[in-house]
Amino acid sequence: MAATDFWPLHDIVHSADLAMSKHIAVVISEDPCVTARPVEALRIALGLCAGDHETTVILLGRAPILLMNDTEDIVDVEILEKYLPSFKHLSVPFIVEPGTAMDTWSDDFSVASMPADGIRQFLRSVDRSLVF
Amino acid sequence: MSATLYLLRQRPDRISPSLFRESDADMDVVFVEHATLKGATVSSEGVMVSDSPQTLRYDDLVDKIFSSEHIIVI
Repeated sequence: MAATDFWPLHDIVHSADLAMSKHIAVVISEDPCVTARPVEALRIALGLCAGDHETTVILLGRAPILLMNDTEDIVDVEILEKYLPSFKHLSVPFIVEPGTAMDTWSDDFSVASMPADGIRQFLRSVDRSLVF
Repeated sequence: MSATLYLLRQRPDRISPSLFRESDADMDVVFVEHATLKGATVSSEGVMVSDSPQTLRYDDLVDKIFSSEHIIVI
């Protein structure tokens, strides 16, 4: 008899629910030139992408410079440069506000523009949100 | 109980309108201010149910968290 024969059914269902992939939004609104938290947030987002979770990264305020070529002022830029190729490879979706200036380097990423109302509704629709 | 619970750790006027707007409808808002919890409910019509935010107990906050579909901490 297998060990799992003794597991109560509700435990199995609960475990399956925990293992289900979630739709997660990672929001970065802090200035990458002031604090290391935006780069750390991207590292966390990449970790979530590596699992089964469907992860979207929302870049607000000055955060879109994380995807630009001119990054020398960014705190922990050497860590950022290590992780950015994976975001391109995995085609992780990024959302920015309308009017956000991006450079040609950013074209390699999956970036979409969404108005403020749309971003708020999107945040209310996902399973989990992490705001940095 | 509203579908979305916002836990705000900063003043609403300092939050990007892409994250939070006070006039949005159907949400619960808890202001977390120096170990004090103040809650407000916004109806589906976008009207704040109580005139002034009421102080919450931690038990009330836990109830709100477990009864909300979505929780957004800003």
